[in-house]
Amino acid sequence: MKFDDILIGAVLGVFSVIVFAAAQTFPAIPGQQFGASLFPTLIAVGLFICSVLLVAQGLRARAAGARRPAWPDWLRDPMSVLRFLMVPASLVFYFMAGDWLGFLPCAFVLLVVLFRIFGVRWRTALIVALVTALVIHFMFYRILQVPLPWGLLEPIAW
Amino acid sequence: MTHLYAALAQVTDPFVLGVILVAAIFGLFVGAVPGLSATMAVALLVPVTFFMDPVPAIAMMVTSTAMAITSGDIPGCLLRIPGTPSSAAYTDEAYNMTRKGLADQALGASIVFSCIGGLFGTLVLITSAPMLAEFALNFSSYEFFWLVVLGLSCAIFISPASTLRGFVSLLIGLLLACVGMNNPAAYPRFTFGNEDLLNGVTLLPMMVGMFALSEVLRYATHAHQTHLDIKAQVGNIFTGMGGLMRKYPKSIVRGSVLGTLVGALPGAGADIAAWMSYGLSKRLSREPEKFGTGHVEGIVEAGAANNSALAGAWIPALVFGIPGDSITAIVIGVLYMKNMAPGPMIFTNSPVEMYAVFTVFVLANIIMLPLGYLAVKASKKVLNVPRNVLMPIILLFCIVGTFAINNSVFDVMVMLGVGILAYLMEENDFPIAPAVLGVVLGGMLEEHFVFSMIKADGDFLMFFSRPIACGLGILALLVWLFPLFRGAYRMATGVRRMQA
Repeated sequence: MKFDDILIGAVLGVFSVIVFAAAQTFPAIPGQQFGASLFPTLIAVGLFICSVLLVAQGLRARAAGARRPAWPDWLRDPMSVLRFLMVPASLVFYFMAGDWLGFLPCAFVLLVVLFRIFGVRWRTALIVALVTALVIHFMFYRILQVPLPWGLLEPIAW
Repeated sequence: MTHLYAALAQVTDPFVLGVILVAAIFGLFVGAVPGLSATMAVALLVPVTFFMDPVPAIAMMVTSTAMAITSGDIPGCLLRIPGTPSSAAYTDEAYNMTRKGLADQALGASIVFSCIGGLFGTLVLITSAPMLAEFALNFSSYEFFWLVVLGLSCAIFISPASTLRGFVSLLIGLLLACVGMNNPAAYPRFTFGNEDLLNGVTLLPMMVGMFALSEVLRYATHAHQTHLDIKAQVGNIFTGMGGLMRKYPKSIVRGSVLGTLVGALPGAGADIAAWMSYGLSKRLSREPEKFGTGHVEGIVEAGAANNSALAGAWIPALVFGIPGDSITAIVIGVLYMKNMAPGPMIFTNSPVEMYAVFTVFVLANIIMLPLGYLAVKASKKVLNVPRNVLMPIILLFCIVGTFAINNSVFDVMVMLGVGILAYLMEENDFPIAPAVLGVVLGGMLEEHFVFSMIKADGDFLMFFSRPIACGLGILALLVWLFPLFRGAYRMATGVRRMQA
């Protein structure tokens, strides 16, 4: 996703002002010249200078006739957007369902859904998801002794 | 010597040897698949190393990266797609050799000279790191402050991206390092009342996000699998290597030396080493006109350079805690987790582990020859591994692995946030390396600065009061002033040309 330098500069500029303001609220340590606010303040000033330069660069590029970066093609393709959104969605699913479902079912479901969205055939998706879930479980649970949750499979835990 | 024996005993333990073999195969695989880099290999190994003893953990990281950098040459040579960024410098050259029917020679050269370069870098690491550490024992906070400043400056000025973008990236990294109460004043900064943030943004989840999750995101938006058809026939890749060694001894030495040096410079790793060394080879060659047409000389030199850079990067990482590249930035995070804080004391505090690092480096570079051969033979299968199957597995691995480290949902959120940030930064041509360095070194920079200032009672000139500190300080200032001078010089000469 490519953005215009002017836009990036503007966002960074606003951000640096917020950081600067926040840093000024940090208390000074009595008897010391350099408190907690020194470094964040310096960073904020640096970011602000950079943001001004970025905007200037963007303006110069536009004056020279550079085209604005267009929205990338993938944003127009609903499947691509879905695939992109599936990444954060998988994280959320793992937390919401992990403990209750247990690692194995959760990983299996997650992988099958992801495989299908990425265009893997059903048969391959099911087999690879099952094998991968078992292998990762064996690796972490047996060899590295990480307490992955059993969840629904508690009665048949091995 | 007793430490060396202890280290040998630990490395030759069957479990550790098994780990090395698995890591080698994993590294060869990750390196050979285009789009998966050596840094990603280490990032994915982080959760696994977390639950291991220090020696197998380090062995895993060393072996997998050495293998990944080498096997990255395979798809470059056969398909003109570099497997890792470190092979990009001579991908065209290698592919042109393949088209001329010289695929055997190109692959053989990249594996054999990777091995030689890697061994050279390791030799420099073994000899220089302990000496440097002993020397650095007398360093005070002034020297360390300047070293960190130099490291951060290198990261910006050496990167091929624009300096301005490098700066933005560095500042973002430094800002991330500010979060939490690990600052000299122990005041919780930017925590928004969140207890998880009191200890700062955790380093390892950040690395997994930056180098693994961001890659999954990039794939998600460009998910198309093209079947890669490999036509080249590969025979015995090791024939004629002795001849090449006799023909290009200078290239081998030059590539190895330059690679080790560039690797040791913070922020520049194997990829920049390969580009620089390929360029140098072309400039100093007796037959520069042959470069780009399928000429092996550049591959010999740059192939040695990228593997020696890998070992070179460990020198500042171990001795000063300043990572030489993104890989060692992750390694430093792992070392802290293992209670082996990098710094001049590391050779005194964990001598056995350090000798183990050296041993594994040597071992990894030697087994590179047979395993590299097998990887080339298997390449037809490996290069066509469906990426739509691979990426979901990597994603699951990131989630489970990051969660397993601290059992913390928060860590996984950090991984996601940083992953998206890294994805957006790379899409907009902001280099990642300065941000990584900022994150790793931010705390150190502030601590050494504030302590020095308190010691000096606010007098900044005290930063130049000790001879070494003064030298380092002047060097840092020169690094900063150099672009200004260059700009002024260009302007001056430009004006003169206009007048003429």
